[in-house]
Parts: sequence; structure tokens; C-alpha cells
Amino acid sequence: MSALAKLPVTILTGFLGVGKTTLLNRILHERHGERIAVIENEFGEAGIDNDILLTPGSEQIVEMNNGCICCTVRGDLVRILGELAQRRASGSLQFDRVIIETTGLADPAPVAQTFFMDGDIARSYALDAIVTIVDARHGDAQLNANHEAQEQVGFADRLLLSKTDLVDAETAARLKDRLTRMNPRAPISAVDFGRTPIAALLDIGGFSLDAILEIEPDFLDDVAHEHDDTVQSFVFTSDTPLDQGRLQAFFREAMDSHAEDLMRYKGIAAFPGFDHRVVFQGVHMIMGSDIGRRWAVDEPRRSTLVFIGRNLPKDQWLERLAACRAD
Amino acid sequence: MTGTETCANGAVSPLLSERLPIADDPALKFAEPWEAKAFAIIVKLAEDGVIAWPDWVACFSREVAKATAAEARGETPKSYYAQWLDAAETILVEKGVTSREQLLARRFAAGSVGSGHTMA
Repeated sequence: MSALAKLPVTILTGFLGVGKTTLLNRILHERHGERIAVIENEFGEAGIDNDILLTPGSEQIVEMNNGCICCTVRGDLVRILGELAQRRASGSLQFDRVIIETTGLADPAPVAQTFFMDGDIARSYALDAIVTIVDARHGDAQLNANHEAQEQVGFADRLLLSKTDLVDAETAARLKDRLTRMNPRAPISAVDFGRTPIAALLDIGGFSLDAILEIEPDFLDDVAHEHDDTVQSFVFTSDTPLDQGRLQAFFREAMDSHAEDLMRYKGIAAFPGFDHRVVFQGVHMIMGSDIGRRWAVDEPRRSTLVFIGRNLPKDQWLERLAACRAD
Repeated sequence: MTGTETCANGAVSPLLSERLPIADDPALKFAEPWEAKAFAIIVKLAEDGVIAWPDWVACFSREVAKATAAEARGETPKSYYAQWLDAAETILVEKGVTSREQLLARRFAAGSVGSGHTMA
């Protein structure tokens, strides 16, 4: 890797006791030939998995000076990432990758936003993905009792189900179904920390705009489900191209009213007269867009937009999105 | 910086010399970060030989003439760097570095959340 290439960063999250530390130890032992800087918990404080984990007040949440409440970053993370980059540049420290393990109670958004809002950090590091571990045995109860657990699922680019050996197949399948409804864009895989290939956790490209958007076809069937989760998702599709200006107006209004509740979104859009897909995605109010691949000649120009958030006004937004169809 | 620096194609670049318009005219100081970025991108691409300096001068002149004519018709005047940006986009599309579709696609996010909120 050249000194100028951006260092990939993985955010590893999950509720208390799901096995984050076990997985990290495994990564550190297995990933031979690659140096990984691990930033743990309180970002620079010594010790992991101790009582300090339960003190979310020690996080340094910083509001950017534009006054936008959803553009908060982690001041402690900015500091430590800056120090790491400096030491790497001076040759006193060598590493090719960063893994950030957040506390079981941390909100992943300010951690992720740090990589987009702070200029120096964005120049040195590239956020690869948010990986969330869910405990197959206790996941249901944790999701019922803790909104933090739900948010970690909502923000994820990939979901790992740990301890599946402790539950029967039906229980694991039910939990998977619940997770898919909360976050249909994150693939779910069962992990056995002793055996699962670590490569499946790294270089996921969760924030790359050209990443494939795959939604389970079953997700689109509106079947009854047993949980009424705060974090929910919905998908909008259209075979009629969308009007770019109206879609932008939709997002501006959606951000005005729901930027804090809109956790992740991703879309492929067909615009009239565009031979290529337009791809976009975002975290809260931070959004990126680019040109995607060319539509094939006989391919339906289907726009697909996925929204994940807390108590989003699904019906209202679907109606407004339908009105974005070009005449 | 000396007055004798040249682009890769050998043409003397007024932008790389003491005769820089930016240095002469206080009205051309960068007011916004994007202006410095647009300026630097063109200078860098000229240095690297992606753009031949005379091509840039011709392209920028055409953009300036267009903006001047538009202003004469009563349209909103464009700032120096807005004209620079228009010319930069035109030449980068002509050289195949980007396309009009890509430029529009990348603007989608800025038009949806505001330019201060786009992912780099």
C-alpha cells in the first residue's frame, strides 16, 4: 500500500457481551502480514470490557461549527486518528488498517460521521464498513429492551450472528427475519469465531457508492411480523424514471424534518435521459452520489431506494416518492 | 515561485508565474474553498500534461465570452471562479476525464443535502 492510499477503517459494533473482543482477538491473531491498529472503546483509554464501558458520558461528542445537530463527530476519535496518521507518516508506527471497536452502548453515527466531516481524517482514512454483531441467544431481548441495540443494527453494512450454536435453527431464523426487516441492505451471516474466515469482515465497501444494492425479494412482501421495532426500513421502487429535481426536493424536506431519524439510505436512480444509473447513499444528512454503470439495452430502468431509520413516516414518504416519477 | 515556470507542454503558464491574475487583482482572491480547489485542479492537470495550456486558455476565453454575452442580455452575472468552473467542466468533459452525466450525478447529493454535507 502506498503512503498516499487511504487506510481502510472498519467500525465493529454490537451490544455488550456479543463477542466483539473475541472476534477482534481472532482477527489480530489470524491476519498475518498485515498490521492493524485497533482503537478500542473509550478511544485511547487503557483496558477493554471493564466498567468504563458503561459510561457513555466519557465520549467526546463534538458538534461541527455549522450547527447541524446530526453532523456530530467524535472529538476523541479525531484526536487519536490524527495521532496515528502522524506517527505512521513519521515512520514510528506501521499499520495498514484500522478497526474501531465501539462500546456496546455507543451511537455509531458520530463515529462514522467523523470520517466524512473532518477534512484531515477524510484525507487519511476511508471508512469501509460498519459491522454489527448480534447475539443469537440474547439478541431478541436486547433489541426489545435497548434502542442502542436497534440502532447498531440499523447502521450496519453487515450483520454477524454470534452464538448460533446456543439456539435452535428456528430461533436463529426468526431473529434473522427481524434483523432483515430492520435493515434489509446488510447481509446477515452466522459466525463461529473459531472458524469463520476473517476476510468476510474486511473490505466490504459498505460506503462505496458502486456497491451492489441487493434486497431480499421476500422483504418486499408485506407479511405480518411480530415485532414493532423503532428502527425500521422500507424500500421504494419505480420502473418509471424519477425526476431529479423533485427527488432532490424530497431529500431536502426529508432532511429538514427527519435528518436525525434517518440513519442510513441507499439508492439507485434512473433519471430521464440518463444512460447510466445514478447511485447515492448517506448517513443522516451526509450524502454522496456518483454515476453508476450503464443501463443495459433490454434492462428495465428500475429505481430502488432503501431507507433505514427510527419511526420514519413510511406511508407519507412512499407517496411523496411516487410523486417524484417523471411525467 | 518564479516567473519562468512552465507547463508540461512548454507553454508559459500565467498561473504559475508572478503574473498570476490572482496575485495582481484583489478581486480575484478566493472567497470560497471550492474556488481554490477548482483553480488548483486545472493548474495541476496542466502541470501533469493532461491539459495543454493553450487549450485551457481558449476554453476559458470561450466561457468568459459566453458569460459576458449572457450578462449583456440581462442574465445574472457570473463570478470569475464560476466562469472558471464552467470552463473547467467543459475541458474535463472534452478530454474525457469526466462526463456531463457524471457531473450531474455527483451533484445529486449536493442538491439533496447541501454542498457542506457531501461525502468526499
